[in-house]
Amino acid sequence: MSRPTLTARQAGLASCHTCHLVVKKPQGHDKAHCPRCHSPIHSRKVDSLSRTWALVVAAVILYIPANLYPVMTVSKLGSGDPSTIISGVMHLIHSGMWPLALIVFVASIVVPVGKLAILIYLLLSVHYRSFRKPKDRTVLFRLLELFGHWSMVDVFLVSILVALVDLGFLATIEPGVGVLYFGAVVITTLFASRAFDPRLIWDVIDDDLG
Amino acid sequence: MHEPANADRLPLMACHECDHLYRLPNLADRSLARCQRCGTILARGMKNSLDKTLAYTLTALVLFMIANTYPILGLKAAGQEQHYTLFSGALVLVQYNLWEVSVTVFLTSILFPLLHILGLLYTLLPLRGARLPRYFIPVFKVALSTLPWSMVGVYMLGVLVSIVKLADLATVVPGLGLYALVGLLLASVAAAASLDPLSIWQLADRLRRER
Repeated sequence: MSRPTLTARQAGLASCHTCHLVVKKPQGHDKAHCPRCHSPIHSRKVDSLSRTWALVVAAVILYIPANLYPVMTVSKLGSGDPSTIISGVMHLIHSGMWPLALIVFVASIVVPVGKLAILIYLLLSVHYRSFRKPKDRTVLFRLLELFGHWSMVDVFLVSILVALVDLGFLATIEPGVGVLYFGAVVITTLFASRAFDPRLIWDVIDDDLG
Repeated sequence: MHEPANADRLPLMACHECDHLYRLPNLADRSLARCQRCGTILARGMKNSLDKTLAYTLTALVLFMIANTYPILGLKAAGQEQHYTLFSGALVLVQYNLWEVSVTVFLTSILFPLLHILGLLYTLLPLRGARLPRYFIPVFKVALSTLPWSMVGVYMLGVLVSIVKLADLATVVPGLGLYALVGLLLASVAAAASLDPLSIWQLADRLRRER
């Protein structure tokens, strides 16, 4: 790095997570509150790594039943056709709606898997005090926040289809327990990426230089 | 970002992604201040941010009410017709013992968007007249924290996919609610793009000290 950088932490300061006011860093176990918005002040998110790990592990476990159990069963004239997250995407691809199929493929498969992979990579890189491309790793974190919630599309889809195709038609659609697990994966990973503090990526480097 | 001459009078700002410390200069309209180390957007300069946000948020409130009153989609098959609204769509999974999913859909597609809209109106309308509402701090926090959990855009994608999935089963009829939902999505995106929380916190702080 060509020029020295000064971080808030090195200057004995901390910025409020809610309103970004920069104040004096609380010492030891002091409970400090932001004078502007009254939120608790922490230099870094509290227990960021262990909370993120816990949520990531939970999401990985939930991801198994989320893909094994059907999210819904479409019954036409008495014969049922259970569909999982993956078979739902396949069906969309076969129906020839390419642009939409691509979006749904990204939202329901690439996003949840990618999110977990990125979080695990970021956690490991901080754990092993990596110096590699901190800027790129920060960009990865930003991607999580931008696209993380798009996987909810499958949960909405099931609720819309079940509500619409109801009672006494040629076909019925029943929700499957898979949607519960899949929804849990989405919520858990959303909380996981919120628990991760990207400043930990830079702390490793700042500690070494400063 | 370069240090301006009167640097010590400008507010301090720490990058929320890499903790780099800056003096934040006054930004020109439609300009961005990015962290020179990690590239995160630190602040946005915007003219009439408060007025624009209020206009889009009021629009969003009207469209939200229409979207919640009228059916989103209808289905025609075998001489029968039926439709569903946002609320009945959220509620239906309770019948199948999936109430956790119902609650999630209700919160992310109805309650959080509504709280976000009402929270912004409660805090920003008085601020525009240089008045600090009584519960500014907690309500503005609610308005900010419900934004990432409001998923109207994702919901719209769900509606699109369901239209395609049902196309070979029955005739899908878009309802008035659907058009309102599209409008709500556009208004929310515009409102979020014009909202500048940092300047709102600063304005509220100034009003409190003057009081």
